[in-house]
Amino acid sequence: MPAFVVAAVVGALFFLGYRYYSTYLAAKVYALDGAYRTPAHEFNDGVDFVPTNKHVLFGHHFTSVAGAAPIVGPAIAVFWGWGPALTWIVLGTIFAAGVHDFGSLAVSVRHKAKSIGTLAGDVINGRARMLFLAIIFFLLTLVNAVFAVVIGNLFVAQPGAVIPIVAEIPLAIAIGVYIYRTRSSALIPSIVGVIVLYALILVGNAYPITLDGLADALGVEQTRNVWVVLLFVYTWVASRIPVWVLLQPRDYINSHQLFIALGVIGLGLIIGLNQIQAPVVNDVPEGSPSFFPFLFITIACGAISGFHSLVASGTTSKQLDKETDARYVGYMGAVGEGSLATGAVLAATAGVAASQAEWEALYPDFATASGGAVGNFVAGTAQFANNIGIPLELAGVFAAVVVISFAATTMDTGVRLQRYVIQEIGELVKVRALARNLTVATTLAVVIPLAMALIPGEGEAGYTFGVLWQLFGTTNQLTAGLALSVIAVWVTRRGRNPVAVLVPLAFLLVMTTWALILNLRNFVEDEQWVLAPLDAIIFVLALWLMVEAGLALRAAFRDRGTVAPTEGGEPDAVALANPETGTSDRPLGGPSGNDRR
Amino acid sequence: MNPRVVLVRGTRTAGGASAGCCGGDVRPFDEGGSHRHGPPDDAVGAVYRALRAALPAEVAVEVVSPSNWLWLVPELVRGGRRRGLRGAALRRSVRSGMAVESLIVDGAVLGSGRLPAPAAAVAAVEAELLLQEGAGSPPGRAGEPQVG
Repeated sequence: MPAFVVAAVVGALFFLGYRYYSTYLAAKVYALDGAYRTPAHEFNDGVDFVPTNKHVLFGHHFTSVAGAAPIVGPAIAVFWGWGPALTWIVLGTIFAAGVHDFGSLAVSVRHKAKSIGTLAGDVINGRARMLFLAIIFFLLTLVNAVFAVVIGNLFVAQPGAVIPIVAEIPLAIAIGVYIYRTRSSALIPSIVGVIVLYALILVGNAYPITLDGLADALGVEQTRNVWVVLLFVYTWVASRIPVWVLLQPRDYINSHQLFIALGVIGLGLIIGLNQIQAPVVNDVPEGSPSFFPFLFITIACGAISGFHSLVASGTTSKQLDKETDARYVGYMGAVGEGSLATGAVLAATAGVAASQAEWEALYPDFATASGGAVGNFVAGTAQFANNIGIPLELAGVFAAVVVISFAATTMDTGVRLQRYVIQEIGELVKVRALARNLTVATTLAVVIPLAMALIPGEGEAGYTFGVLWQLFGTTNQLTAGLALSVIAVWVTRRGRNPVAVLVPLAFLLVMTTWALILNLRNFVEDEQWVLAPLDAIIFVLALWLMVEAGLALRAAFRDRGTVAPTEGGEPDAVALANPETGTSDRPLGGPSGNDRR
Repeated sequence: MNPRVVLVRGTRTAGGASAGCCGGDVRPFDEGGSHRHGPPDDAVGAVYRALRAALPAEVAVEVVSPSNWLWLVPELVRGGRRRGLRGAALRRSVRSGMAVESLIVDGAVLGSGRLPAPAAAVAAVEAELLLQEGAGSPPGRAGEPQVG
């Protein structure tokens, strides 16, 4: 089947989802009110809280949620065939991610734009804050570990990408310092930066850099691991320098690259008329993980990602001009991410191979499929770039540079965020060195994912990456589960029908716990004594989340009988009775606040 | 069409973007304890508050990241063309409006690279709005920032 036909059908389904389902959510589930005074107006300070044009805000939100993660998961998941992968992306985006991203924004806006971590504490009790911290800690640890492995693998597979990627660091610093000193527009310098970066692809291609010699000298079996260590040394330094020096100018360069990559994929698809070579449903070898439940944790970002609730409730909700804008910003953000994931599926099924036999050679078993997934995406994107006239060899380096740029920026930010989480935990457990000492917090933020990334696997395209990725997907889904629990409690307390939220919540919790149990059994059988305890800890967190969500929902249903449904525009009885609660329309702990204690 | 004032954020508060899933512009906690990681206040916040207090509600005041060129460039081009700018003058106007800490009123770049003090910014914006209302013609030299 021509890939562009599939892309058009998916686009049409996303359009229908936005047009009809998000309208239903806005009217019947979240009961949005155009006249509601949002926190951006209530606490308007021109810094964090600023009423912002919805198109401007969408730009901020989308670039904050769209990155490398929706590429990796789908590129692995096509192992089960493009049918299951694409079905989950489409249904997940429309019925789970849209509900989750839009709902996180809606509930935060109704509660002084508080972040989902704080809201979880309000819904349940102090334990929920610790639960949230634990889930986020593992999420960030696994993000940093998997992206280090992704970059390491790509440096080994595409040594031509090393020079441009390394040169991007001083290039970004030069742009940052130039903008800071001259206070001029970032547009021209960052476009020049992208041009220089792509020009360096020619240099990188002519002088590929490998660390095989260094790995041999150090006695390291896998060259990838040398790259992984170097990457964590880099992020230790990068995460400690001011954002405007390196991270922000890298972001300027990346924002151009995001649109260039999307343009190349779209244009290449249309011009090349590539056919999908993967089977609709792949007859996977015996002993492979089954697509129930593993597909649903392999594709997290791109179908539903808890990370989006952190963005939606952390910064986006503070800038929402009208409550009704939440539909456009939140739901469309999810659709944008789903579109990226669709592009990844098409690259890994249509661009990467010219025949089904060729494709099957790339996806013979789950270990090879997961280890080679990013490389397959890169090869597929390179083919699309080749369709528009870029020589294949250079196109491969170009695609690798795009993926590595995103993954490296994610690592920069991930280590920085992990430092905040460690400092937060330090405050909670009253360990001053963790809370106050940047060096200690940053070192911990780097050492733990480094250890994860270096877990012995089965070769460069190892088994370990696939399971690490699944554990990352699991923690991401648990974060989404926590956010959906908060949304479900809020919707229930408002007297609205929570089914639209409860269905994805139940589905996610069943899939994640099912996968965790199966993986735990496998890890114990394979004597994976690092992964088994990690899986067990995440399993305990999942159970904890289920118990807390169940208790909070039971309390919400109990209180539900005492309040009338909230309509859009209708003054809320609880808010009127509690003017000091500001923008909160109904305390999340219930009218009595019992379940907060 | 209602008038629109645009403030472009400074280098320290432009915010991270494009790190994407899972590393975008995230603040997991509201309090931040002893390690507050929200953006620090800068000139944009003070000018914004002064403008919002002084201007009537129908005047929109937007705060935009300098990296949001997908929105900023069309806004500046549309505004510049409405004011009769073409060619090099329009390019100069767009470039100066894209700079950090810029002050733009309906496409007219009043400040670029450094914001004036809040009172001066309010005075400049009010004068610009009055001029537009009275003459209906573009004030100042084409494409050149007028204050700051």
